[in-house]
Amino acid sequence: MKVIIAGHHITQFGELWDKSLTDLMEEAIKRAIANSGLKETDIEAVFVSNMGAGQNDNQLHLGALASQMIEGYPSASRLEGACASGGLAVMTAEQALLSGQYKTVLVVGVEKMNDADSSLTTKYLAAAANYSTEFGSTFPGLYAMLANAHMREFGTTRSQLSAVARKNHEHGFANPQAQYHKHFSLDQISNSIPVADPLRLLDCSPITDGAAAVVLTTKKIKDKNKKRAVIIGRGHGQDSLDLANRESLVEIQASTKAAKQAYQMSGLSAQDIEVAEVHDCFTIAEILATEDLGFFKKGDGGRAAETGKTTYGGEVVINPSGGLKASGHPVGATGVKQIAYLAKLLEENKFTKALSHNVGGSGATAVVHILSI
Amino acid sequence: MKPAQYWRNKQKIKDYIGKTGQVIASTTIRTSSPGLTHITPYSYVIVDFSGEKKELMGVGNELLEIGDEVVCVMRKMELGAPQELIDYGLKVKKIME
Repeated sequence: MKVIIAGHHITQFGELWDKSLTDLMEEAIKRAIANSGLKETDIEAVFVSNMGAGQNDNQLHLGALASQMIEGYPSASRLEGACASGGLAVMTAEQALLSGQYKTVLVVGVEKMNDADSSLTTKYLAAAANYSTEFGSTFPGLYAMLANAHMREFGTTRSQLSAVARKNHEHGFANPQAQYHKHFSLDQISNSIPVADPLRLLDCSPITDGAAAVVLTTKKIKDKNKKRAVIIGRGHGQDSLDLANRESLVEIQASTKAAKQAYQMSGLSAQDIEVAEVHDCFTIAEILATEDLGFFKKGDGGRAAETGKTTYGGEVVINPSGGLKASGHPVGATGVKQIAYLAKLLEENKFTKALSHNVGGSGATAVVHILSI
Repeated sequence: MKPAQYWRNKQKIKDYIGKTGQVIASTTIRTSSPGLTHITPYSYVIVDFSGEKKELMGVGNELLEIGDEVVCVMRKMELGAPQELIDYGLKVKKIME
């Protein structure tokens, strides 16, 4: 049984002072349903992904909040897996479809981050780590340790980290909803404010408001005017929440586990993938991802970015939306946005095989999806 | 910090004070979470204590690197409100030759 992406919508990403959590969620839901050509009453269940609305907006019970935006009050629940919340919500929705419980469901991811002051945001993002055993760490600090390990073992350079950021900011120009449309030179990135050595400000994804939604169905849709993307593989991997207990600091094993499952289910390999939205919360995270997903040999991810293998005209287009880096990272929305963005590219005949990769925390949780048309 | 949480967290401190190990991963945190801004920059490291690995902050502004030999010490951790408990916990300090 195939899971068809019947409709999708991504809101503007950015510092959206005129939009509330509810506004963003409602826009994503209504416009994804409109894009699908289905009726609101066709939606049998809603899956909401979000991390921080409880702390930032004092708003929980997000399933019920989303459900009341849809005629007929479909069943609704919320998924949380830090930055992998969106991927987990899509996967859970697919399982509900494939179990036969529902025929058509909607997944909406949303995060409203800019209403909170930066200290509260820093604190709630740190909740993605293990609070009791990783005290004093920061989200960039954990990835900085991974970057140092990669540099030490494979000779990855500061310039290669910057090449990832520059490329994603260039890609961001093709995405009207991206938070940033700005060129950066390698020098500007390499000399931006230090955050946690070796990572600097322009190695980090930003604080973002935004939402994205997809309508998934197992029903056949008769519409000769529109091709629709299909999800043909999915995988979910876990690893230790604490970095200290990981077997390796140069590999996100949750990603390799998730990718292995997704490739096996789809019957494809990394070499078949033409385009991927990967979880570049920090530049080193994209380098790790392109290796862990099998696009490049372990240790070669930095060189691949630097030599243009991860952009148009290279071997695989990584983060055509601008990724988390330029498009923005509204935590709960990111995993849904990746799939919505890829579905649109496939519908437009720009590619035929795509992969999304969504990671929670410093790599404890990873979800991989493979799409085709 | 809540008193019960504080009490639970402090139970294991005595088991680690004086333990020595080697830094196997490190970074220098220059932008910290609120409550730790008064001590930035500080080291954040993974230490291998003969097989048991633990993530810890370095003391003061001492910058630790991979390969450094360190010892566990008890230090003040986070600034709280004046009426709150003073939060003490484990950090690591470089062993000088």
